[in-house]
Amino acid sequence: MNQDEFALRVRQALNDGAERLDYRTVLRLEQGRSRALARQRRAGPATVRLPALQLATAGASPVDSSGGGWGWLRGAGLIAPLIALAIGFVAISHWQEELEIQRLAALDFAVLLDDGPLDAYADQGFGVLLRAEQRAEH
Amino acid sequence: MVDGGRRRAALRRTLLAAAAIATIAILSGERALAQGKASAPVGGPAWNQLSQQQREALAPLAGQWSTIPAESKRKWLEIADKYPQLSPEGKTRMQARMAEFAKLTPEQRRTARENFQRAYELPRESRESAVEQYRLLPDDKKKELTEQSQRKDAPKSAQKK
Repeated sequence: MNQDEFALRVRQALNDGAERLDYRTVLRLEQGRSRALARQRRAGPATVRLPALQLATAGASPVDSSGGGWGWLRGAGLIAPLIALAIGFVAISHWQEELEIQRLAALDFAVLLDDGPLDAYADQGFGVLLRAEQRAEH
Repeated sequence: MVDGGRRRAALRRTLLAAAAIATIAILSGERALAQGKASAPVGGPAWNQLSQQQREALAPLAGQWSTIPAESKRKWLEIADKYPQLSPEGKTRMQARMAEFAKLTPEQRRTARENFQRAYELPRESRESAVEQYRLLPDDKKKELTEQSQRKDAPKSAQKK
């Protein structure tokens, strides 16, 4: 038996087998095929996008940025830098607050130690007299 | 092409979000500290949580400590840390003025700081002269001067708003 003849025999045997399948089996196979095709149509074309800048997630699976309100952020790989930025701003803000407290403390300490009248310092009218003295100086 | 456009749009949104976060953070840092707004939250450590040395330094404030805003408390605690370095005379003077200073309104405290700084820009004689002039003024004249200053400052504060 040469090769061509052998191939022909195998094909015939397979076709004969298929024709002899039970009708229930054929029906189930047909239903399965229809379901699989329907699922594929619903899913649509798969979009896989690699982030432009992938930081700590290197090695993780690529992120599909098509879903969710924050998908664009994840897609841009910018969540981590953004969080770092926010933390930085909050830290700077606290640092400025601390500096301001120290400035006020130093100033109030000097006012409290001074022998000038506190009621005069607290009066805007006294400021008018001080400005007049400043003008006289110049 | 399309991906490039999307990326630029995403970058723009990111920058906008960052700017928004920055604005919120900075505004939160600008909390009425210098102004000592009356709406500042009362909080911070309770009187009995202070150290013995802090309680001794801030003794004139004991009665009103619970009503002092948290940020002002932090400022007073800074002052309390410097208190032990003072001479006995300095300690007495500071404590004598402490309660009076704490009773001032935030606006008066701000004025006191401004006037103090302005006074020390003058030579000693001019400063003492201004104090003497003020001391000799009758109350109605003092009031007049205050009103005059407020009228002068009104356009400035309107511009600030």
